[in-house]
Amino acid sequence: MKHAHPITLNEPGRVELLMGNEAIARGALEAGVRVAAAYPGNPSSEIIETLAKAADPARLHVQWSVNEKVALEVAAGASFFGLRALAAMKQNGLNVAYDFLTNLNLSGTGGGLVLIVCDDPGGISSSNEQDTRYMARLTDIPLLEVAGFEDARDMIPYAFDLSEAIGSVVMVRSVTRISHGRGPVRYGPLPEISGTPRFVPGTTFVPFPILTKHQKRHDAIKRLERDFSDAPFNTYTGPDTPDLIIVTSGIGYLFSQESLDLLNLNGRVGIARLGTTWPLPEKWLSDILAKSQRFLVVEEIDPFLEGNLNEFIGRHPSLQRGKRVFGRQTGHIPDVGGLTPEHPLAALKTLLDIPYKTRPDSYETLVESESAGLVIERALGFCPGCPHRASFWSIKNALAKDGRGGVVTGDIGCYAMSMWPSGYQVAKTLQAMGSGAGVAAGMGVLGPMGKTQPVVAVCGDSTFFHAAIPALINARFNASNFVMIIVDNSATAMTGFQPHPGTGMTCMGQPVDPVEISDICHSLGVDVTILDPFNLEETEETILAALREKGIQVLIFKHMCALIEFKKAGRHYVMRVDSKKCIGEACGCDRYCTRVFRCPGLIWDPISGKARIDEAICTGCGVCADICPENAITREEA
Amino acid sequence: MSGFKLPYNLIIAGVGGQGNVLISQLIARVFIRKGFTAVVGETYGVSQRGGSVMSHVRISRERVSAPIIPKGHGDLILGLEPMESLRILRDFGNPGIFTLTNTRPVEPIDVISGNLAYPDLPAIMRAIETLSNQAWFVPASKLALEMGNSLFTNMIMVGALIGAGKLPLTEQNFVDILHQYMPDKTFEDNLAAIRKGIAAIEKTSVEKR
Amino acid sequence: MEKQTASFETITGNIIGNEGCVRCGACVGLCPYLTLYNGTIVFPDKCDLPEGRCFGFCPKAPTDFDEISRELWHAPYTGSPLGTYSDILIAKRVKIPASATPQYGGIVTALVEQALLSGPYKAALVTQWKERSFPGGVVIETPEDALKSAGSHYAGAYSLAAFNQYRQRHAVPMAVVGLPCQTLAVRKMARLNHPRNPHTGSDNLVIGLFCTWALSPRLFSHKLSEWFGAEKPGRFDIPPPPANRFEAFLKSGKKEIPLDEIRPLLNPGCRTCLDMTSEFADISVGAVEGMPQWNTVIIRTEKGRTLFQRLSDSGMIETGDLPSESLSHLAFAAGQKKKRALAAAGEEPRENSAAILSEQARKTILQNEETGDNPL
Repeated sequence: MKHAHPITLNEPGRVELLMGNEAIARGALEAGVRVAAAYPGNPSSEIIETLAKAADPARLHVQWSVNEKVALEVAAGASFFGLRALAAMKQNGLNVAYDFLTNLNLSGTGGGLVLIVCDDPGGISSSNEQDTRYMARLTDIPLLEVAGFEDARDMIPYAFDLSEAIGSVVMVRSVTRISHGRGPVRYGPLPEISGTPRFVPGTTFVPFPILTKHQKRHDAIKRLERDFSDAPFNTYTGPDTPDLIIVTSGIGYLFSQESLDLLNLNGRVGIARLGTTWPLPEKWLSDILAKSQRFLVVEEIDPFLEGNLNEFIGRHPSLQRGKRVFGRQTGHIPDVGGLTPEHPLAALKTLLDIPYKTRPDSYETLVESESAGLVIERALGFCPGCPHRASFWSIKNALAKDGRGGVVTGDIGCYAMSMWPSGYQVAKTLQAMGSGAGVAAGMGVLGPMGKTQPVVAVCGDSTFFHAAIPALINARFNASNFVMIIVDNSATAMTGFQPHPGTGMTCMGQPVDPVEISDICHSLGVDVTILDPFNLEETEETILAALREKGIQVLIFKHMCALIEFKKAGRHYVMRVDSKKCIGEACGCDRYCTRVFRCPGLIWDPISGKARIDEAICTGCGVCADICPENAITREEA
Repeated sequence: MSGFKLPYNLIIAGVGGQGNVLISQLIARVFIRKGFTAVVGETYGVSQRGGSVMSHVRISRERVSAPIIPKGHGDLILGLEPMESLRILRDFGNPGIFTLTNTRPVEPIDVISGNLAYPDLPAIMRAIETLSNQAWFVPASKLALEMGNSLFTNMIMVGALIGAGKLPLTEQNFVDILHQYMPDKTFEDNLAAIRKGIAAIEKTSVEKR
Repeated sequence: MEKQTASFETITGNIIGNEGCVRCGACVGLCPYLTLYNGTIVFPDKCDLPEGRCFGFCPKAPTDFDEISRELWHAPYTGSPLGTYSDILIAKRVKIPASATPQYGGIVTALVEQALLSGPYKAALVTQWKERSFPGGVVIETPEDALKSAGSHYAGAYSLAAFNQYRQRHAVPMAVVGLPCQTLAVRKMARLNHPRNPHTGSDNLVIGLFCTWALSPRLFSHKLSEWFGAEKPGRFDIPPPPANRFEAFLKSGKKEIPLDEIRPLLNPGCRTCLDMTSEFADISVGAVEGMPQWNTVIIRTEKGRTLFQRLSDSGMIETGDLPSESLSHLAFAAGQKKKRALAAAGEEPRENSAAILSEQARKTILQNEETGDNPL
């Protein structure tokens, strides 16, 4: 499409269908943001991708940083020079940035600094489920929650103003359903970008004296308890004396509205929607609490608002009589997981004792009887031609041949699927970015205690830059023993192929010298071998040899992500299955290529009892020719 | 346009890589252009790699709907894959729902690898028919291949959606939007695909209820 | 809807995993699921076929001894210590080539040479270790190559893997040299009714070796490099009790190792083996008590007799009578092995009691004379 992101148009009043993250980006542009930094992570990645389309070295610097801590530091650097800046990240990313954040809060900021965190309720594309709102409260910084698409645009300029007003970073929290949903957004005007970055002589941004600065933050929060009562994002709709009030934030707002419509409760139940969830607006909330005796809190993910609301009531004796708060803590909404429209619906049915059926029992019965056995699951797997498949094939085989029960520590990226059948269930641990190397470093010092199992850490290229380097240095320093395999596909493939230091291109499209992973490893004095994982025999032998060595052996399995390579260069080989040679299910093969190797480009044809190539999706990587026990798969140069 | 109540809940069902996202955006843009409000809810992330993907498109006036349709409240399913259409019907179906589905299965990796069998396609189609007020089966993948590229499948299904006549959509609505975003040649091809889809809808099928 | 993985899981779980494996190699060389690496069997992936050749060939999978005995001799398996035979004698090679390091009288090598010379055997399966990190099976096609393999390795070397591989390419009659477990496997291979059995209808000559037990190839070779570094012994020997030692013959001379250090390297699966003298071979060859230059030869079938006759006629060997005291000692030792194996099998899980025996055979074994002597 010619203008997929007409995000830069200065056409106030124009209505565009924007993704929540695009709306946040638009809001940042309307706020005059000058520096934006992030590390890719779903569901936050599109914020920077969108801003990159408006990037211009003289007006707006946009970057993919190596990790979230650095991203927030980069944004803070701009803020200290008086510019408006933002950093965006997913929930896990905030943990990485948190060390910096818990000092930045005390040191204060210059130009408006907004921290955007996109939580992933249900962990749809994450390794965990985590409610980051607690972390704002813990840090004494204000927390705004986006509740819709228009909101996502409106709230960002407000957050920048707020940041400058209180001299502190402000956290804006979105969630998957908003960040990755799309809705109509009405554009405001784009400001004239002007002003030269300047560090004001005599200013300091340090956390000292600590207690003074800590007190200052508490004072700011106190002030906001008062000021937030006028914030435009806190709204009440509903009757003056409702039977019940839904207190909600984030996507819970739209789901609550829907529930009232479906149950026809708009006359009985009110909705108090909070955009400023920390600190709570004192007067506004007291007024809300005075309207009713019963409150249902609808929020993602943990009972943050619910707990704060209970605490608020506890602090206000005048509000206490007979007030009841329902939500996740009372079991009216499930303990964990993201919200769906059914959650407030079910809670309201219970609390107000309303009989409601979505569809007739006869239809439910029909669904059961008609669809039984006709819907099967779709397992996730590596793409056709993915170099990770070849890498894990060799790791699996090498470990079996080594025979000492080697352990593989996994990491975050597409290759995390190596804990599932697509990656032959090779990886046995998975935690944070770079943890594969750190955990392996710990396992690798257990030799003198009698450990006999070798250890292999697997790490992607982007993950290597993000957090594996300190772990590797640590391992080298403490004389650990393990094989570190860097599966380098020259991309941050999991989150949408964002560039990283090794790819030689910034997100603003500027070519730069790539940072070579091998150079970094060499500089640590560890052994480095670079090879192409498509060469199965060499790969397996190299792993086996490395497993027998002491110290740290770095193996870089370098092959470009199949999705990129296929787009760039097309098929390397034309693959064929010689059906005369293919023995299919017979003893000696048992569908080795389709059942075990499991590349989706290989199809098992139950009628002929042979494998064949799916020419539509085969990328022609040629690897399957090397695994066929009957040499029935052939490759020809394309 | 009988049966076009608001909010109208349209679900696009398919498999990662089939292009749900583009169709859902296109349809939402068309409605916004027509003065409606539209929101889209999507599943991203790992579902891109071979998993089931659904997009919810909700059309309303003024009031913005939640980007997720409540269970049992689908009005129309545009299925790019038959089993996915049935999967969505199970959760979002009701006696009034309309279903348009592409008839060509996309096999899950466990079927490709021979570990599981793809469920009986005629049975899936019968179930879709039984669970829908009215169902249309469109050989969109086949028609697309006849046009020379399986990528046209989506536009053929969009054409079928227009042809089914359950939504206030015309060919012209899409012409306006597509022309904006595409070079002329691509535009002509896509328009041809839409027309093929419109023509593919059997006018003979009748509403049950 | 996953299928039962009876064959493969039994092999890898009950037999290999449960230390029932004797490293014969019968299950290897047929598929990508069971392969060899550095002297051990590896299985990175699971096969899910219910009736694999691996299971059909495995001598530790249930085996009806009566059936095999009837096929060879038209008589059931009796359980007698030395099995069925027509002749037992001693023999030695007249002139042993300087380059060879044969065990005792050099008769195995001579038989292989003769088999390849006079046919109909086009190839022979032997075990080699020289120039290799681990002992393993090798198929030779010329008599000259036979000498390279001379000498006992005391290791179950998975040599049948090479047999399987060769047979898939060449359907020719072969002479197969093997330990008792391997002679049993070769008989099972020829019998197995399976569409992809490369051994179906094969007309092999089986030269069986005497064996008290065998060692794990991987453990044994690791131990050897620990003891002797890079230098590899030409052959090994275990002198009769009470020596209680293992002898390795290196260029630098004979090295002695206490048997206690050898015991941990033993294949646990050998504990349940009933056969010391390769009872299902066509001809069996072993040592002679107190006569280190000679071999005991047991002629069991017509095929074995024909080959041995040709060898005698060639003048390459001389023969003699086995002293009756040696015969009774041999029979006693073989009977004791059977008895111990039966007792050990009783302690194992049911599925590892591989030998299916008649009540009569069982009784015969148990009635063998008691002894306090138990070398391992």
